[in-house]
Amino acid sequence: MNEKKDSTQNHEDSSSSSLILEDEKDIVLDHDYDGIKELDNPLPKWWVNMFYLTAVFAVIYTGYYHFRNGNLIEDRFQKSMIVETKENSDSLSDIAAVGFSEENASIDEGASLYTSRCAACHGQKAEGIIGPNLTDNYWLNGDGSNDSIYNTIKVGIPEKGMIAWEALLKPSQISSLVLYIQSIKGTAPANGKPAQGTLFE
Amino acid sequence: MNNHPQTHPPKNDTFQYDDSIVKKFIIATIGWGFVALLVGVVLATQLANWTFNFDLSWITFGRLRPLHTNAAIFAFAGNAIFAGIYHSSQRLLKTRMFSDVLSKIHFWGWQLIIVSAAITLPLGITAGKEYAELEWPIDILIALIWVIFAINYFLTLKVRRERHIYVAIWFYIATIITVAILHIVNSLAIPVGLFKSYSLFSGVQDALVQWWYGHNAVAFFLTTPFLGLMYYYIPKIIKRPVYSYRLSIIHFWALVFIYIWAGPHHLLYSVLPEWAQTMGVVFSVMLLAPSWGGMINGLLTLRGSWDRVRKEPILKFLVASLTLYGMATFEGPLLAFKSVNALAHFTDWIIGHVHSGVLGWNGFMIFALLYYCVPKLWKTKLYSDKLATTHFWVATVGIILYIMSMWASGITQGLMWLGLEDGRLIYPDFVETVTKIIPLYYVRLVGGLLYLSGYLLMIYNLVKTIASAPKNQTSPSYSAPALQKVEHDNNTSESSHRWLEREPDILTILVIVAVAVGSIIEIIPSLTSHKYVALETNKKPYSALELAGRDIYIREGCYTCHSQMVRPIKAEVLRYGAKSELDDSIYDHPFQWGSRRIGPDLARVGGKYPDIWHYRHMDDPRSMAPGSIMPNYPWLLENNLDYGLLEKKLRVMQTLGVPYSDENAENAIEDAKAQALEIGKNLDPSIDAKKISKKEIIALIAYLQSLKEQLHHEPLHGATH
Repeated sequence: MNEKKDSTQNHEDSSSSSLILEDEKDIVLDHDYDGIKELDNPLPKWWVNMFYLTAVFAVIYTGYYHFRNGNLIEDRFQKSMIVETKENSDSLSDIAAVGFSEENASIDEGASLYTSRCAACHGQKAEGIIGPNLTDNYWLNGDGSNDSIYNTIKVGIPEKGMIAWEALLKPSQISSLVLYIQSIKGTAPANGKPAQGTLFE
Repeated sequence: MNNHPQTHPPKNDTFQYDDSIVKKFIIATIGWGFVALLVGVVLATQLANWTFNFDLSWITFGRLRPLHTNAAIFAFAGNAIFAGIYHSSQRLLKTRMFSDVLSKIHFWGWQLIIVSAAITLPLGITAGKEYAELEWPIDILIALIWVIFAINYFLTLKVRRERHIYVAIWFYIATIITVAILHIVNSLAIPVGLFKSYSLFSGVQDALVQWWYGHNAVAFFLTTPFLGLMYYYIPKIIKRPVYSYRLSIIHFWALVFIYIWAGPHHLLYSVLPEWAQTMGVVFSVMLLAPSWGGMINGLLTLRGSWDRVRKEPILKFLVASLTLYGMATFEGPLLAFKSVNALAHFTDWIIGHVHSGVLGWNGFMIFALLYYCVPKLWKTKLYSDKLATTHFWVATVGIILYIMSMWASGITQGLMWLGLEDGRLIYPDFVETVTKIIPLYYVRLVGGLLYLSGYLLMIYNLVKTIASAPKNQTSPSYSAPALQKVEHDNNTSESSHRWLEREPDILTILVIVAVAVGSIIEIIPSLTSHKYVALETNKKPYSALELAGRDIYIREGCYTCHSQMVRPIKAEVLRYGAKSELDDSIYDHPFQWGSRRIGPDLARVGGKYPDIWHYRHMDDPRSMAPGSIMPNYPWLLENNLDYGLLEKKLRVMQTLGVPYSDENAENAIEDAKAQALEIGKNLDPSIDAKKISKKEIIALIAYLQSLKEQLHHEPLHGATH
């Protein structure tokens, strides 16, 4: 035990009791915790009202979702999907009809899409790496026509590792790629992969 | 020293407080806070520029992120809480801690836990549940140390010299009790080896337990103890009486009772039954008033002293802390609405939300505590008030940049993900929604760097302060009479709560009841009723190789960026595939629904890309997805798969109720090797099938390809037994 002369005390800050404002004199409780006092202020009215309001809201919110037809997440989802297919029944046939079209397509867009999307497998110069050489006249799938290249990009060759790009590319973008691929035919880049598939002149 | 109640007239005891334990926790807080912030800045850098993953397994985002969250919550905030609790409780109870030895075991045990976490998490040793990643041996250690802390604390209450316990102590009691319950239930697991276990729960049950834990870690680790600290330090520092005793009673009990229900707001639009989701929403909304009750009781205590806020950095920190607490607890209920959550869930908005809480509310409260306690405990003056004020402003600007950039990026992500035009996704390419927000990731990084810089100023300031402390530090003695037995009929006018404040045992029991009600009503139905678990599923358990791959997925922390939960929202179904169902994750111990989409959802990734795509993508994601910010995982192509535990893994899964036959388990290794060879052969002619089939990448590919829609013969929702 230390020397007792450093005057044992009740609180660490016994010198500094709480500052009580004039209008608080009547509501100071006789609580004292290490010098901390407590006032007997009432609960703020707006706070109490807010609490009640959130409780009322809770009841309404629960009622809205669970005691009215068609508001559950599952119901809303089913409804949104039905509307979707109805709308699509028209546009679906449109999409089916969409094939290669030069409208809104450009070689420049095709070139940049090629670099970002295709070069990883077909090579920067389309010389072929994992995927085949795209600059020769030999085709593994289809006959090298605009429509057949379009279709190959669109549905992919999943078993060979090429994904169906229609999920990521718009029809016009696929058409741009077709234009670009047709434009590099015969460029015979260095380290070209040997011909694969059937020759189509 | 005789601490027992005496029957003869009051006689003053003389005693000293154990401040050395407080000093220890303070130094640990300062050190670990630096680590937590530094790792946070590293992660922010990695998101802004993926090359900072350095192709090193132990430093990749997926492994570091759990280290960051655990360090911030349990090391930084944790040590600070303990420092504050040991410091304030002894003074509020007028007694030294019951046992210095138990206090020391608590301190050193907790540091051992943190060091174990800092070693195991970067190594990929993880249980795969957010904020509860630590593996079972560490979990047991946490439980033991926490119980020792609890014993020491409750025995200290027994030897107190203050008859009534103050509101801060109520909050501490709620913390000690509830954290123990949460930790133990959520960590229940069956070990496979020393560093590997499988959660006792699976799928929707695991999700519900996990977020009951996760949300209430926020409640009872980052809120209640800090409210306790607030109730001690604000009146102490400002030397003003607490504004309203009644408010403290009401908001304490409301907070403790309501918080525990709100966990399911983390699982909105998931396969959790919707009634539980709605409970999560409405209880989150009802949390607003109890949360703000704490804030206003703190702010109104400053009444008449606001001029001091202008001059004193400690008060600046306190006021900003309370303000950010008020903001975060308003934002929380807002994010919990189903309609808001549809947009905000999985986005960076949530990240901004938690950081306004932890950096603002917790961080600033801790800074105030440190600036107040360090000079006091070392019996000197703060080295520089000016530096502390600079710290405040730098940190405040840091927080603002952090929160605002995350609002902007979160809302951008949400809108781009959900954007539809003519029934098609406007941004079908996920990478586009990532590259769009990279500039905001840089803004966030600047915010984080500012916050860290302010922190360094504080370290310098505090080190200088401690260095200036007088050499021979003596502990002052205090005196107070021991508690007397009171007659029960001598105070009939007092309120019943005043009586309760004399009976901490009963108060503790009431706290347990308060947190038990919400827990039981929400969790027990999902654990016991067959209705929520699809029994008539045709879901096949993972093959041995897929299971091994899943463990690699967990090890690499893939869930820190990828969700596995396609919500029943049109845009999600168009983007990812059929919405998730209950039985998709029925064998997932633990579940891997995730909470963020830094990358796309993976619940339906199986079959979407060929094996060779995954192979090349894991080696170099940008070769397959230009613009991707995912780290490279070259080691998966080099490391041989460890088949050693495979049979044991299937056996443990069997115990957990996954329908593997004994044959499955016995042949696990053979089956896995055969499947691996098959995948290796079909990869690419240029790749040596035999060699590659031994590698970890093959198991991971097998797992990813298994993540597919289950074909149902009948609707599962009606499945009852």
